[in-house]
Amino acid sequence: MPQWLHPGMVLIAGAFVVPFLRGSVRQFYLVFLTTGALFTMTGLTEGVYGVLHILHEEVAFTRVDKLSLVFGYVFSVAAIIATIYSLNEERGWHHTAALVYAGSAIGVVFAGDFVTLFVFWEFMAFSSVFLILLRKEEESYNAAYRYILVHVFGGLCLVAGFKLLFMETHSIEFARIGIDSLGGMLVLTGFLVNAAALPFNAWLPDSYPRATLGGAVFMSVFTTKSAVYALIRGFEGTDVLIWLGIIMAVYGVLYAMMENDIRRVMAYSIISQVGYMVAGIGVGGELAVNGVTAHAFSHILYKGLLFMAAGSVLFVTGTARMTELGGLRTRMPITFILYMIGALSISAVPLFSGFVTKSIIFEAVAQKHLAYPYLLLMLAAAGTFLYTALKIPYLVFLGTEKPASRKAHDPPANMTMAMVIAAGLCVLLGLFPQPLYGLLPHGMDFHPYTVDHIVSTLSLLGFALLGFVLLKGRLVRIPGINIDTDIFYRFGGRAFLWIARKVFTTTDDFVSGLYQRVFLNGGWLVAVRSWRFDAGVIDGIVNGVANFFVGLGQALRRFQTGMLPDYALSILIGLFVILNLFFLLF
Amino acid sequence: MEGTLRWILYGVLALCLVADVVVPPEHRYFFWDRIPGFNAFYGFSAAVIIIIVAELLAGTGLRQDEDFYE
Repeated sequence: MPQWLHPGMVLIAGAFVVPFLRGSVRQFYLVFLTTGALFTMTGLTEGVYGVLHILHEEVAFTRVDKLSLVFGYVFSVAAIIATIYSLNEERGWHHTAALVYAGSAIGVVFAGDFVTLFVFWEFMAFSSVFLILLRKEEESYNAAYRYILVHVFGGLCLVAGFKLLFMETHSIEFARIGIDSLGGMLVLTGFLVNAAALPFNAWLPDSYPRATLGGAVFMSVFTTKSAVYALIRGFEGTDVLIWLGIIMAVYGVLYAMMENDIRRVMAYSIISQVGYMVAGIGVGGELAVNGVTAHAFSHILYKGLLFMAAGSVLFVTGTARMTELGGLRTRMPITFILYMIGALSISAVPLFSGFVTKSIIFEAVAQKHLAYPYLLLMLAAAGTFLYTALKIPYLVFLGTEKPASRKAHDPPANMTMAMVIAAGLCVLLGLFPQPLYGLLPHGMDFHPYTVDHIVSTLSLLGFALLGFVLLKGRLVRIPGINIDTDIFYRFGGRAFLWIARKVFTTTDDFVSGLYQRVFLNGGWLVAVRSWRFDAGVIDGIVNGVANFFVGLGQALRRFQTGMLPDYALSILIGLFVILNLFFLLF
Repeated sequence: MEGTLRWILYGVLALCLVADVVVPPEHRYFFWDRIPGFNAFYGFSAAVIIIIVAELLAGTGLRQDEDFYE
């Protein structure tokens, strides 16, 4: 046995065995592998491992400290839960993609330098996209395309930023970065793309609801939270993040309130919750970092649980649209209870996990006397309670039955089991927060269960409930989608296509005209004037040239009817490769 | 049934309100920590604001048919 084993690499290497196993052997192997990764994690001690020397640089493959360990733990626990949830997935490559994705996320949190971080960062994007593609619906293909476009853009910002930072500091160590330089700002942008911060937020609600059921659970865990980790590491105490986070928190709540698809509600809910974390990172300081880390920990568990419950509803009824659902409480009683545990956890109700973690962020904000941020985060907290614990249960689990809900029943055992584990952890964390507090990067003496804190939370949520009861007739209950910032690249793409078409058509017309004037007319004149020449020869030449231009025209026409994303993607990937080479070599 | 539930809710809320007024805050970071029952007032206002704003936003064209992009 080597002295250390990288838990992420355990998952990535083990992932490629899955497609060759069948049936219960595969299921056993999946549970064994993910649990094994968690055990490897517990064997890690703080320090730097696997230092390689590449191009005169020390590349620290693995850095273990308290911050990376706590993210590593929750990532491995989430990988176990999400794997159990997807055990009934027949396609082996689905598991491979999911595990490579989870392993890469673990690789990100243990990366000691930019190079390792970037490699795992890209692995995450390019493995997770399969979780969308494997849903095999046309909309999923399109969403996957946009997903990878956005993440390639983020990756470009990162690699450019890293290179600029390296030219400045001559170090590739991944430590605090800050936004004093262009390089820092580029890296921040790259991180914020993955954190789904505005205006780079739209990829998340665009893609997660189009992923496979298990895939969405995996995705709800890793991409945004590894970005939160990277932001803590690189940009703690950057003021601009406070307001960015608050905007995300409120924006996510408003959009979630308007949504009709449960999984899209959950997607906006991620943006809102990550907003709390981004704001906490902006506040900075030991308490805030503890709060953000703890909240990421509990968030992964309850958000995974909520995505699993939403996926179960979709699995048994075939729809996730609230307008087509209702009255599921009697048909899916277990799912209903487990969903409510997740909903009460995210709403930070006492005795549940959100209460013991969100309050640390609030305390950190209060200690800095940031009045408006505090009030707006409180507003978002009430809103979170509205859409998860009230609106969805009211429309989906209570209410009258619709045709789609008639075939509903609790999901297969493995899916229920995964939800039970997640729900159990949510309650355990809520009841006994101190073990989690002990894992946090900084020591702290924090007690969430004070009379004042319990009373103020219950009053806030209780009276939000009253507002809901009085106004429940005015909830947005129409099918449809929300226009989000992706409209710029979705319609922007169309504008580009239109211009491209114009240019190509004009060129095509010009070439055809040229051919008419020069070759046909010219050829005719030549034929008439030089009657002694064999007309067949002339015709042959003219036809040959004509065929060439017809062919060219057809080739161009093929271009102009081509999909814009094809151009955009090839241009971006080309740029990406060229820039990477450029940055690495010079 | 729903009537009973509603009265239970009102009863619980009344208790919350009393507690919110009576229990002194641990810290006084902000001016509203001195206002009795502020949390109850704020929770109710927040719910009303969010529901109404979401309703208004949905009416502005931010909400479109599912085939909007096709």
